[in-house]
Amino acid sequence: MDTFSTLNASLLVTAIFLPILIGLILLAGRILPSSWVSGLAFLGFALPAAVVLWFLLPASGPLDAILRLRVDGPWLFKLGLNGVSTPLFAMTAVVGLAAGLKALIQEVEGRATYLGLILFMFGGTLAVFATDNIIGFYFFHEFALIPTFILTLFWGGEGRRSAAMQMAIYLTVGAMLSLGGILIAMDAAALSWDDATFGALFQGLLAAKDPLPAATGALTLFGLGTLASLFPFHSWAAPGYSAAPTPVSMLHAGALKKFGLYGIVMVAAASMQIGQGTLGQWFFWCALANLLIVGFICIAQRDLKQLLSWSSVAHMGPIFLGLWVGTAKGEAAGIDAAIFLMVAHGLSCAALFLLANAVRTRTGTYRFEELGGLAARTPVLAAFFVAATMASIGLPGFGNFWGEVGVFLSLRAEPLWVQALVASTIVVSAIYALRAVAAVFFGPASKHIEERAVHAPFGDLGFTERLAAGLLLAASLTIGFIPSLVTQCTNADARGIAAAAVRSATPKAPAAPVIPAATPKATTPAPSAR
Amino acid sequence: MSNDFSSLVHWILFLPLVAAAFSALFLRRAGAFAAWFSTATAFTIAGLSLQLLLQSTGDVTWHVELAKLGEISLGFGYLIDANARLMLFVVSFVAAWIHLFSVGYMQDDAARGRFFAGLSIFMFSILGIVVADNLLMTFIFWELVGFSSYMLIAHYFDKDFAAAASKKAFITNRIGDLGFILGIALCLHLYGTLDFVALKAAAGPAVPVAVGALLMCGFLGKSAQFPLHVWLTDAMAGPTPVSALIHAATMVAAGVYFMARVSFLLAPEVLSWMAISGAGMAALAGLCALAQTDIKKSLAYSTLAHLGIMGCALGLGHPELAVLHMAMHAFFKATLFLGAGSVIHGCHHEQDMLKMGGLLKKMPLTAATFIAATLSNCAVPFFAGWYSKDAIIEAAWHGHHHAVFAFLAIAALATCLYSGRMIRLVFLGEANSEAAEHAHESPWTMTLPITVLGLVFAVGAGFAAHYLIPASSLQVVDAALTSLHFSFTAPSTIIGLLALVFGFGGALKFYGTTRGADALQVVSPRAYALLERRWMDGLYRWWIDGPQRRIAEFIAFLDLLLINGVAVRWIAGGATAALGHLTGRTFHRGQTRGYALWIVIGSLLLAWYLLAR
Amino acid sequence: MENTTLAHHLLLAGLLFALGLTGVLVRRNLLVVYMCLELMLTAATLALVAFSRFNRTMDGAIFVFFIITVAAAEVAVGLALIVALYRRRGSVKSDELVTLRD
Repeated sequence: MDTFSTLNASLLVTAIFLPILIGLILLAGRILPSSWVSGLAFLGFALPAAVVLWFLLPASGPLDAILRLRVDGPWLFKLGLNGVSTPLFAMTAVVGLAAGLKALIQEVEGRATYLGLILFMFGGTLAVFATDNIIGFYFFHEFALIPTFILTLFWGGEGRRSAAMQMAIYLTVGAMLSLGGILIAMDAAALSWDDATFGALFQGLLAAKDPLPAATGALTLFGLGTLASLFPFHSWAAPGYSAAPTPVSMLHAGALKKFGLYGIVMVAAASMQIGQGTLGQWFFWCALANLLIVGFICIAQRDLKQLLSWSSVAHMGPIFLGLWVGTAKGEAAGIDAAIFLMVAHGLSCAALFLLANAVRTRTGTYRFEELGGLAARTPVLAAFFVAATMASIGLPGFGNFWGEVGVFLSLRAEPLWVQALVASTIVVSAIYALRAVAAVFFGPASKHIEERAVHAPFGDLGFTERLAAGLLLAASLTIGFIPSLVTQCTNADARGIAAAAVRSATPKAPAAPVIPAATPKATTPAPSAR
Repeated sequence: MSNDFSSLVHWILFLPLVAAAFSALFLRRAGAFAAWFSTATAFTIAGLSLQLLLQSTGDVTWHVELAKLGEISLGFGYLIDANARLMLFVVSFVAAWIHLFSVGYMQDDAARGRFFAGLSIFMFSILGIVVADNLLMTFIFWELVGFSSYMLIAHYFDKDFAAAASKKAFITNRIGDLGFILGIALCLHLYGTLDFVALKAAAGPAVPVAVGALLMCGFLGKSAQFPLHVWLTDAMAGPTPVSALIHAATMVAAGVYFMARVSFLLAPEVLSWMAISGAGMAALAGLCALAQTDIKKSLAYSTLAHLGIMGCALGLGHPELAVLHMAMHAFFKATLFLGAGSVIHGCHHEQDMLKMGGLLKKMPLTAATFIAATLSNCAVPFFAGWYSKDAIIEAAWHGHHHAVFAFLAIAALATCLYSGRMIRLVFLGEANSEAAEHAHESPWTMTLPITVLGLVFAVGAGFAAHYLIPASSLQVVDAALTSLHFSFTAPSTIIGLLALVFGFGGALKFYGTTRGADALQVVSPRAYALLERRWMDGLYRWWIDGPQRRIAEFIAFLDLLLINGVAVRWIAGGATAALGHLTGRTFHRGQTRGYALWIVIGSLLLAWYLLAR
Repeated sequence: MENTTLAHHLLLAGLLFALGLTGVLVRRNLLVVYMCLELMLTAATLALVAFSRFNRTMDGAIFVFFIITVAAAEVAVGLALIVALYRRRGSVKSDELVTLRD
């Protein structure tokens, strides 16, 4: 098994750093011929997905071994997967591949730089999910985020200047807040940069004096929550995704947003009492607002990309609520379901952005009033789009269903009005999603499209687009039909985090600290519950 | 023995899924092949279901845990009891013949491949509901059935009304599903399990009303009961085989089947609501059927009425009668819809009954089966429909539910009225249009199914059930069948015969009095308009176009203004920038509404300040 | 209905006021906004009457007449303005009357 661990570990390191390395090469080598650029970029995008595929095969060793992979080194290079991050890592690999395929067929100026920056985003996100060190987490999170501002500013669509500016300011302020929380927490736990693992932070904060965990919790929750578009810090998201180039939106809404949530789960959830007391109340109401208020905003949208951007904000609602009930009430199903929904939403959201852009490149517009009857001309696009829409509104068969229903079931002990409001998302999301589908694809062909068909005729989805969208939908269907693929990774960790969250809120007991089953330490193997 | 049959169930459930995937991926262009492939699959499933019905005794169970979310176990399994066996057979049998019918009916359609893939997905979904052994699995397939319905109603998606109808069906179903999932969460909370067998053991005699009421919401949506009935008539925008299969025989009956399965979770208040609401719907819908000129819409209202009767049976505490009626109804309603399809096909896609007429001579086989099914619909003694419908009326009488009995009596009369009307307008008299003049009988792929379903089953299913199927397989309905016998003094017989003579006969005569126009509309246009108006639809329309849209736009406006506008400017440029933006751009946009808003906000702030001092 | 308290009346008045306020903020047709303004006025009147009754004085009730008179006058003037506006601009939807910006 030792050879396997080394092999797997080196594959993991390669999967993360190869995209970044290739990104560097592309940024630096503007003299490279275009076919080299495409080839290298494709390698960078495809390798992580290949590594994930390898991990899925039984030949790569048992699941436990993969979840306990560790790469030691200075803080930046302390790598390793855990139960929560493995499905997210896999999802990022798939989304990144799809985004990369899309980027490769786009015609842009400064293509090498464009692809290089996207590879940075990609590699950085993968690293965030594969790091075992909190400062490493923060470092890679900024590393992945900064290229998005540049990409949106230079290669974005309408309104890109103000959108990029807004995104930059919001997300940087959020990152500063969360950094503040993390540093204070590390200081309170007396950790050095090198040994600041998630488990160590939990241990350290257990002994901390009382308002401190909640204070750091507030900073971290709202700081990372800004990245995850928690209400009321969500305003950057819709203009940002609308203006950003499609591969960037796909990666951003699909993967980057999730590492904000990942940070909340790993750093704040167990140790910083984010579900308790006043902070817990605020968390609950903000999460509910994401669901309800932003849901209504979605109903008022008349533009496809705006709708998708707002709906990706709205879908964070159930995820936050799952996290809340897990940390406030110790209901592990909430955390499990939230993680599941993170994975599934990343896939469906990326697919929708991809397909919406396919509509735009063919018809030149996103506005509902100018579209209509597209299904007759582009049946394959219509079929994929309906499938992606069904995935995003939580139709069984796709992964989103398990996440959403899991969140609803985890809230079963709450008062009925809370459950009813939360579950209303299935109706609200169906309303705006189906309306979008009908407005764009069904009905008689609109005048705009008919004119377009004459002057600038367009065809159905091409091979690459089908491949990219197909990958995303196939992944969603896979976890929809075989949910245990995700839950066997996350279940134990979710239970550990929920138990730890509830325990950390109770008055400090003088008992000996028990390592939570959630986060294995750097060198010792994880105990019990497997 | 259990094991053998569970693999049979695996085949029954997953064969259509494989067929659907195969059709969707590879057969979208090969329409004819897709059609026959799907049909062959459907007949195979029907055969397997028949084998299951005749050979298996006792419950067939199988279970596997799919995953665990926290402490919640997500399971997938089968529970084939007497109800399930009957329903499996009915669903797959009717579906198989409808597949055959579609081969002929959809011959000229270019998107046949997609259609048959949709039918296969639907088969998978409905069979899943039938075999499910826990609430969550039922919910999964419940939603999938809703999706299949959406996909099939939107088959002619280039027509606006088809797109709108599919959207409406899906969303209305989802509103029901909202209640359903809340009920599931409540069951999990109260009893710690979602498995039917375990729930039955855990739920005592006093089940909270909320459980039954919430689970009932799913039933209201799926089986188009009040107040979620508005989608069924619009769903007629789909091709006729879809209306026959989904919106008459199977999907809408899934709700009834589910309620029968969880009848131990329904509190008495829930049951009384179902009884009254069902009976009321039966009477009202039957009368409204008199004001529809489109043959499919009229049959849709007839379906609504029968669903009401099924709901009523459940509410009276006789789930076995509801299941029996569902089975009988599936046969004759499918025949009626398919017959209507045959008529529509024969008259070259004319759906208006006022333009038909005299088709008895032109399409004799269709006419014969249609009339047989109609007589079953009207519960003529010893026809299939009589067994179940009269048993329900008897149950109402013996249980002293007077209001329910009265509504059911009206419903029986209305049934005969609209049936007589339909026969008179479509088949008797003279042809009222070119299309009807040149009508011709349909090809064998279409007439064979309606003959089998109509002349054989709509007439003889009651007999068959009573004498041919082993009692142990049908113990659920055996009690009902053995106790029912023909007696001239039974109240249901009296009502039935009166309705037949005066209703059916009267309608036959009355509707022959005017040609090309509806006799009721001629005689009393106000009554006709009253029956034709769609009240609940208007209410929903008003809500969607009015308050919902306004609230959504208002919230979007507030979000943009307050959070995006003011807050961000503050952070970006400090208080002065925020104030500047506020006074410059936000305040002075020239819209009175904005000014009004600021006045209100200002006065609220002032009031707060004054009061808090 | 011997058990209605002051709170009931005030609640009703509050509800009417809120309804009127919502209408003023949400509706676009000026005439409807006007009617909602009248509704707010009525709510205030109702509150006055309630107070008058429960405090057993006539002050509130007398004030109602003032309010009615003023409301009538205001309506007359307001409607005249709206009609004049309509004649000039051809619309009474507040969305289309936005020339007050700089």
